[in-house]
Amino acid sequence: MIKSQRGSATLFFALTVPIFMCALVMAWDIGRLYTAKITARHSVILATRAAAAELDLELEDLTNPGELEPVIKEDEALSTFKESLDKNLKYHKGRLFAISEDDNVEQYISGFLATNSPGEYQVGSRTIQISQPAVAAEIQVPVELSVFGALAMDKKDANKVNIKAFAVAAPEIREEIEDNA
Amino acid sequence: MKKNRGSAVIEMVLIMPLILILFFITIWGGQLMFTWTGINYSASNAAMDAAKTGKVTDDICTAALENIQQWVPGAKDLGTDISRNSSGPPRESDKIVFWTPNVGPVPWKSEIKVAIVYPYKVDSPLLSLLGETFFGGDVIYLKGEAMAQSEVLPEND
Repeated sequence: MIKSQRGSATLFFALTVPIFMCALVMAWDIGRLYTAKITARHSVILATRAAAAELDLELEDLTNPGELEPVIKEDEALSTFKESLDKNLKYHKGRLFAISEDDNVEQYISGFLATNSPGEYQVGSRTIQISQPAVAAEIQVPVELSVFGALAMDKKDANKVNIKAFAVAAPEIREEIEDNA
Repeated sequence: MKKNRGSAVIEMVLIMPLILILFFITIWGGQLMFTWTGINYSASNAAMDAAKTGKVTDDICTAALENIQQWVPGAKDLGTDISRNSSGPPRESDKIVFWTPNVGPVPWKSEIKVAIVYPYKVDSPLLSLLGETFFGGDVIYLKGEAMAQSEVLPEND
């Protein structure tokens, strides 16, 4: 006959702690990955938009005299893309993304396309159909997981996962808006 | 037999605070991440809107702040402020601050910077004590930043 209840609360605690730890890890790591995904996506959107603004303003649309034809300067688009991506990703260095100030942003670009010719293209892991001048890019940014998160994902040696983000942007001709303020 | 009477209750009383701490840290961690996501989302959207219009108007700043107040729990209790100083985003313990160094129209392809600083307060006195121990205060300043380029072309002569 076992009558003693000594240690039962400790046993309860020992059983409950892993459950709470799992919930905590889920809240922390999944939240972090979700935030990273959104931030990486916004960073690549902002960078592709900036790259798509690298237009040759000397070219006139032959079918619409007086109107500009949006032609992307491909080399300039790439350097603008890198510059914008570098700044937007490094705002979150250390805190969100496992990157440092000295890192070359090129290592996070898994695919880049700046083209004025319609067609089917491969950008990173995606195949896209382009019908007008456009800039497309795919990035892969590392995010550091907590120790428990790394164990849960069976990543004992490297506790980092890569977050992928993709965006396409087409140039838009916007004239200056009058200031009514 | 008499010696064991009540021992489980005492153990539970000793252990319950630890379980409660873990429980509240879990909820708090989830809330913190949700808030951070919302701030980053609003900052990026504001940068994109500013790039489209070529200036960081008060309407864009207000829309971003209202978006945060609508989606982030507890944000309605905080005030809001728009700062355009050049020395960087200020921290205010009772206000959500939208910061941008850009004043007036931003020339084509020039940088537009925005940041949102959110004072995240820890509600629980217990966690507040832990916050003061580990972070030096019960307010954690969450910052969302974004940079875009003005997309508005120069006026044609």
